[in-house]
Amino acid sequence: MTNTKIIVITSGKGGVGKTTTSAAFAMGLALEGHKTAVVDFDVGLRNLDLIMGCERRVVYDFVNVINKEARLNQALIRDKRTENLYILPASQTKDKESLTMEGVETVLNELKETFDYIVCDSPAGIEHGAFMAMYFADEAVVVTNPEISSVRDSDRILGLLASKTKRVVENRTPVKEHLLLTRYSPERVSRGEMLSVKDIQEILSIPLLGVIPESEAVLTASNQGVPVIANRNSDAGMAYQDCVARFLGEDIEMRFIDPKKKSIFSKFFGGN
Amino acid sequence: MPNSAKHDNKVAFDLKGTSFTILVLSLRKNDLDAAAVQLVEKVRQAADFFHNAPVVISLQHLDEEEQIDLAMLVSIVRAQGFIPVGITGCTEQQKHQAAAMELAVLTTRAGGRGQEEFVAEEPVLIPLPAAQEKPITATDTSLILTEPVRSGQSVTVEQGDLTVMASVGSGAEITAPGNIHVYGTLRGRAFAGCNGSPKARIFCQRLEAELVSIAGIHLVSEDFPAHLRSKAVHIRLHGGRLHITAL
Repeated sequence: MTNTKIIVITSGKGGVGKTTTSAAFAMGLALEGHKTAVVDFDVGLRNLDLIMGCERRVVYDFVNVINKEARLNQALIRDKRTENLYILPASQTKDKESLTMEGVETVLNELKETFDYIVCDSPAGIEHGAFMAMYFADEAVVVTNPEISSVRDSDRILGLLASKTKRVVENRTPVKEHLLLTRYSPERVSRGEMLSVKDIQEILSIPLLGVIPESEAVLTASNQGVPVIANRNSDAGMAYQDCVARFLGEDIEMRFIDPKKKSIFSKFFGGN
Repeated sequence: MPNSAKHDNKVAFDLKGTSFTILVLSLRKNDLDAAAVQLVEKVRQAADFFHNAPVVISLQHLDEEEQIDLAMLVSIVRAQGFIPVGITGCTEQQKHQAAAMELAVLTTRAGGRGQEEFVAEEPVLIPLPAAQEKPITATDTSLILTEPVRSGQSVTVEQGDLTVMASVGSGAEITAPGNIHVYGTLRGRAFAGCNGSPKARIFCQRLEAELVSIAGIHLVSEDFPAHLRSKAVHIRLHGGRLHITAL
């Protein structure tokens, strides 16, 4: 495929929802009919397989393919629920140094031959693993929680995206940046306990892809190994669907950014 | 030729600026009786030292609404052997009163009223921190950046000014031997006059900086006065201290 897009899901800070977003985003793209591979770059701390619910089917991993101990299609795991979706798990036993620049490039180039989108789940931090995950990216989704430490780390990552990626080195148009706010609680924002969408956008000054509300559905989905986007009735699932649609060019209004109004119906039906 | 005056017999005087150390009597409250009693006591301790000493009366610590009897205050000061030469930190009305008494109105860096200026307490010299990342270095005279300077980035110009037409993130550093202009929010650290030039200045649209420094004299965020935070300001070095003024 000549038009394959490599998307890195990154944040700097850990625990903000990169893997949850990678899983949801990749599944969302696949559900829209795009052939998608999601690659776990978190070598040594692999989680993506758990979130995707394929941990029992891992035979070979990313590092095996880099070291030519396995072929790419031996390591790729087909998602059982969604057509067009494949997972390339990370190695749990190796360390990040196993991701060599040449090795990663070779694997990504091979993925490009068959996939429309390659979603790279970056590890936290700004070290080698995160660098490898972002280096070849065409677009970046910067996952940020509404708290200052996360916002500062995202700012740091944006600086690296603007200076240390292949697109910059080769003088091509820079990596396209998207802001994704996760664990957002409009109620807490309205009480002044959390940074608002506006505050964060003002600090980071990149376009907003979407806002994922703080939701019980996320933890439930993680523990069941089902990307939260598959739960079409949950607020977080709907918010991720909106994000994917926006990413693909649709113009959709932001939801879940204002405090919920308690109606008599929500009391009856226990609205989520 | 500035030195020609010395050799030119037709010139009767030189007129130039200089500075003297001068006593400032700064009134803490509008209680002239107490001030008179305490001044007598003060002078009694060192009469020779204060005799015929020029003094400037500062009203900057008084509320603007307070009506102070300036003539009375001046006569109290004169009675103890001082020579009042001027007043400072006064309101418009007090300026007129001072003029009537032939007293000069002095505007010092700290004395101006209504002028949103902040003067740092004590200057602290710090060496420039080593840049964290490989700095973006411009060998040309000045540099204009249109993109934000992100956390962790360090931008240094070798010569001239640095202008950022966006924000400087918290944890970012910008350094220039000349002036620094930030047309966004300054959240990181700014080092102007990094080669030791005390004439360098820092300008920003919104002051939320972690640290500002001119010629090695710095102030950290905690030292900024609340009323100038998140404001458009101008920072300069004068008399060894950093001055922050609202733009």
